[in-house]
Amino acid sequence: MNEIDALRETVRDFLADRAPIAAVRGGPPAGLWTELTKLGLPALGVPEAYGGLGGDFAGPAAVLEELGRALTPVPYLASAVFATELLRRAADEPARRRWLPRLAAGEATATVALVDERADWLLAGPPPVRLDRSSGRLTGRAAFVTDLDHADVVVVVASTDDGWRLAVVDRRADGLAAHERPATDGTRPLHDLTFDGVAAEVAADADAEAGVRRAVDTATVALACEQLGGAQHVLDRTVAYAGQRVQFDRPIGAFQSVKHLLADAFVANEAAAAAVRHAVTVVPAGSDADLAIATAVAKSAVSDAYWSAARAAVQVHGAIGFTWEHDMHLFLRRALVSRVQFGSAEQHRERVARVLLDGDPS
Amino acid sequence: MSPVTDFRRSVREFLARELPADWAGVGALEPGPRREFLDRWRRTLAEHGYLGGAWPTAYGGAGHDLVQQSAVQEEFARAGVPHLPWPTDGFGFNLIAPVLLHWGTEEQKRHYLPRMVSGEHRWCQGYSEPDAGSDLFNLRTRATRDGDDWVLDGQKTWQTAGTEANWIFVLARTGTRAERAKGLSLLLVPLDQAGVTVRPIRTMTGQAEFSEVFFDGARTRVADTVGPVGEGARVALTLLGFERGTASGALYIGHRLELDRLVALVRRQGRGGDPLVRQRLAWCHAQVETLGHLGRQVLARAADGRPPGPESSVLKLFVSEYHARLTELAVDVLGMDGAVASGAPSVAHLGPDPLGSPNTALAWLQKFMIARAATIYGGSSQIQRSTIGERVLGLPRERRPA
Repeated sequence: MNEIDALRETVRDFLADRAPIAAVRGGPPAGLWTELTKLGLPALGVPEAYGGLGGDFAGPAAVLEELGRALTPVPYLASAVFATELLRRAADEPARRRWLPRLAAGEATATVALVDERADWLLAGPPPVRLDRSSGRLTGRAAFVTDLDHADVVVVVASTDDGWRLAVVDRRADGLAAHERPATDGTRPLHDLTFDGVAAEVAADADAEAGVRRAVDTATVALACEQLGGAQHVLDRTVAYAGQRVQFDRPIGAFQSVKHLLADAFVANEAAAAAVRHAVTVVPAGSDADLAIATAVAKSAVSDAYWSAARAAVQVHGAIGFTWEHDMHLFLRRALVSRVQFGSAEQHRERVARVLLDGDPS
Repeated sequence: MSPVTDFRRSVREFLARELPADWAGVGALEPGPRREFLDRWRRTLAEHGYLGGAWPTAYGGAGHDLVQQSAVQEEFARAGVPHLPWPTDGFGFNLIAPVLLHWGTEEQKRHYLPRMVSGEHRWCQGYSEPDAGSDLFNLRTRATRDGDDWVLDGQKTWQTAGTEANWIFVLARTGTRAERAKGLSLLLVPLDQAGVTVRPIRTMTGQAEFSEVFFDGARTRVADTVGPVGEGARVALTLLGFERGTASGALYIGHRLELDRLVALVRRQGRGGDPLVRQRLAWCHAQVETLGHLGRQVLARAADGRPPGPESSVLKLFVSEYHARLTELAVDVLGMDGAVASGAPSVAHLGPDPLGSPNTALAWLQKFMIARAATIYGGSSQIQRSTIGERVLGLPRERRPA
């Protein structure tokens, strides 16, 4: 067994023990995130120079797949991947030295404010929160901020008259108001944030756009890893159910109509797995253009795969799968929200089309 | 520098040396010169050990391992030359040769393998029958013992390039039909004899890519049985386990070239601004790149000596269904231009056309038609889904008729 398989197994066993679905339904089990940080998970993939464990993106990818399988409500993606990657790619050296070791050690947890209600995940326009460079204060609104309850700080992608900046603000800073939204996927709470002249630490006083775009692509690959884990898990559970549920004196999985539905879901999952794992290899050192297209391919493939696996799962489970008590709607909800978060399958395919047809490098 | 890289470089040097400086791909040649080129090219490959390159040197091979075979196929596909020039070659080199190497007697290997390289023997397959398609083991072609010979009666069908072949490997019933898979044997049968009739089958493409073969007292020697008598099903199924992996790199390149050709068609037809066309084209791109990643997984697995995983059924289903949809996009993009079957015809018998091939309405229409066959032959998409459901996912088998 290689290192990554061992890591995967450790995380899977830990989550099965500490955060089974039944426990997750009531919100994050107390202390779970602290325990995961003590296992060293936020340090995976962070360079040793910044207090991390080093390594490429295969470790975080394995963790994310497991978190996606278990729908674990922890801010690993938001803090250990997205905020960390933003700071690595778009912050200046002093800010990196100040924040990366703390995030890697679990001494601080971050979330990210990137878009507003328009959900411009692909960043067609400037970030909605404005930074006044002379005063260092932030003004504006952000939406779809995940895992705020865990966060000590918010990493804000902000626009100025002179390009984009990265800022770090205390979660409890004066002028920062949070408003929780009724999340469709209850395992991933969402907040709106209002910045009313919030004093911010500017993490880089230079244009951060290229670094931000790369970090968003990395976070998108991270979400794709979660989706892959979720898609595989719902298929595993559905295959098991189809082998046990008896109607007309035989397990329903013996019927071609059911079998072929699940076989198609398996093929879609295998294809998505290949696309996602390729994107994972591009994350650390691939060019921005290569990462962009690998991300777009992976996100569109896995969004479709998770969606069709969840739909098939609900169908094959029949009436029992429609109940609130059954877990299937939790996965259907995660599949639905993940499908559009960080850009829909259609938006990512349009990115690919721009490269194929319009000569757009990304 | 790793040995593989050195090997790949040697393949590139070979191609650079043997192909003309202005080489634009075999698809760019007119049909007449193409046939002449392919015959010439096949002799060149035979001289340089590229035909049967995977075989042990004792049988005229070059002992190429899986990674080297894959490198040859990739480099050839990129350069726009076939590694198996004749349409019958795939059935010889990819299908019956591995079975002979695994099950054949020393005498059979020494007799048949060199003749495959020289082109003296040109092979087609003899599995499917009119009443034995997906239900292969329902086959009826019978071989009856007569001294040292088998005497064959029955009909086989869907021989790719059957009219160009002069030998056929036949799965025939040597036991009773009640035995189903148990009473079969794999026999090597010459087609040039009185008891054999080969007829072309004209397909929906308008061409005759396939044939049917009738046996009426045809004979072959008992010594030309491959593997044990009565074990033909097991022998024949072994070959489905071979050849996985090595073709997948070339498969990716072939489909990549074809998709690039479609991108050019979309531009030429002025459809590049249509959001639905853009979505479908991007979907095709994702499928082709994923095919490349899946292919590398299959090759890595095979190169590690691990048994074939679920990848082969997945790959077959994935590629054939993709190609059906890609060619549907092509005919949609053609619009009314697809109502007129004009321009040069497609080049490859099956699958994507090679480098340099025409980007014409006729060629795409033929690809669209032939893609209908790929989800049927070699185990239909429905058979593949049942295989995946039962062998990979472990779902219960269907109830079979008693």
